[in-house]
Amino acid sequence: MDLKEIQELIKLLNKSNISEIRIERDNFKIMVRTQDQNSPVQVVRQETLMAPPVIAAPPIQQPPAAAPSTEAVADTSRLITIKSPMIGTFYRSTSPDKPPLVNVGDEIKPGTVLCIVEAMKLFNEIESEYTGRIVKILMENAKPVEYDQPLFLIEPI
Amino acid sequence: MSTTVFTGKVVHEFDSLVSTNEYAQHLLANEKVIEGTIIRAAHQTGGKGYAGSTWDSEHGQNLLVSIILKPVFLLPKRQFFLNQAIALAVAETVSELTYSEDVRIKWPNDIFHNNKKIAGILIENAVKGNQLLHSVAGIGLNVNQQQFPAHLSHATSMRIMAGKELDMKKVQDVLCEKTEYRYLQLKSDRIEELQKDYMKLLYRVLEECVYRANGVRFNAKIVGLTAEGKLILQTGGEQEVYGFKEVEMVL
Repeated sequence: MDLKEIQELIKLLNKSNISEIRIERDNFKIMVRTQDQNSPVQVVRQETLMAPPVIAAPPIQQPPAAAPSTEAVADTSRLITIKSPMIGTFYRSTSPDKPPLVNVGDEIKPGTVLCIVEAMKLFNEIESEYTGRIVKILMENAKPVEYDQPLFLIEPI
Repeated sequence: MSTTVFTGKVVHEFDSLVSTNEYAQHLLANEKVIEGTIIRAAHQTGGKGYAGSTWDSEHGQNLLVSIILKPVFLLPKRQFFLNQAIALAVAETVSELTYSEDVRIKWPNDIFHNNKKIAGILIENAVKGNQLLHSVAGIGLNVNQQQFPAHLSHATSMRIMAGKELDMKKVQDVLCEKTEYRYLQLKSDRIEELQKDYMKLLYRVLEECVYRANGVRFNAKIVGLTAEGKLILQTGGEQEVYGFKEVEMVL
């Protein structure tokens, strides 16, 4: 994960009402948390293969001082973000009595239906363009989504 | 005989289906489907309205049809225009065949005559990346049904409006023609005409009436729509924007 992606993550967190995001990979962990509404976002990065387990980074305006190891970049920069192509309401299943279309850890391929975004009574099945595995679902069921808002993190396989 | 180029040229007809939209999705998942293909059923066992509300329909009395379209030219965020095209086509079909001027579109896409519902629309799209792959426009149009159960006291039909029985095939053909006309208007980017015509038929546009939002009733009038199709309501000098489900018109 590079600086730009971390900044993106912080921006995302600030815009949302989520208070914490954790991403865990084999040799890399990151946790971003807002303390309260007025304080800046706190970033905790963890690279388990490296010596210092926790690096606290300064607030959003300044990028974190420590550059990530090339190893971590190689690993996590591969993640693909799937974004909402429209404004609407995000649903994880086709109807309330059905199980979620996908879960974290599921393997997906082009054409796999990931979620439903309903917009003004038009129902949109959002299909994957990629082959990969779902690493993170960034939205809660039945919550409003904005245009271009990240919905899923995908690890290509 | 229908005078369309592609809409309704391939018809899959059934006596009974769970829903025509569901069968359309099944077709799309399993074979190459020509744009304009329609699926029609005399009866649906699981016809869907919005969020599980069921569409009660007497066997063979109503037009239950799904039209498969491939609006790959339309950005997903502009899809409300497709909704407007289909709603206009259904409203114009009813108007033409019942010789009635007073057919309205209740936002976002129910079709009304004299405060009674005559048709419902349910559109399902498939989106990949930033492209609409295909759309299934499911339409339930009350044609010859004359009696409605008590809980559908707000329903009417073309037969009730016209005072005579209608030929189902004729209704289907006219619906295909109107749909194709509006769809090609969208495809050729004549959005302004589409918008203007939709606003002309919008139920209670610029009329002061009662709405309910967040449990509160208030008087307001529709003054316009946003690009995403949200409703702009005006109360006094204040304007407020509402999405579907965020506001309800009190009939």
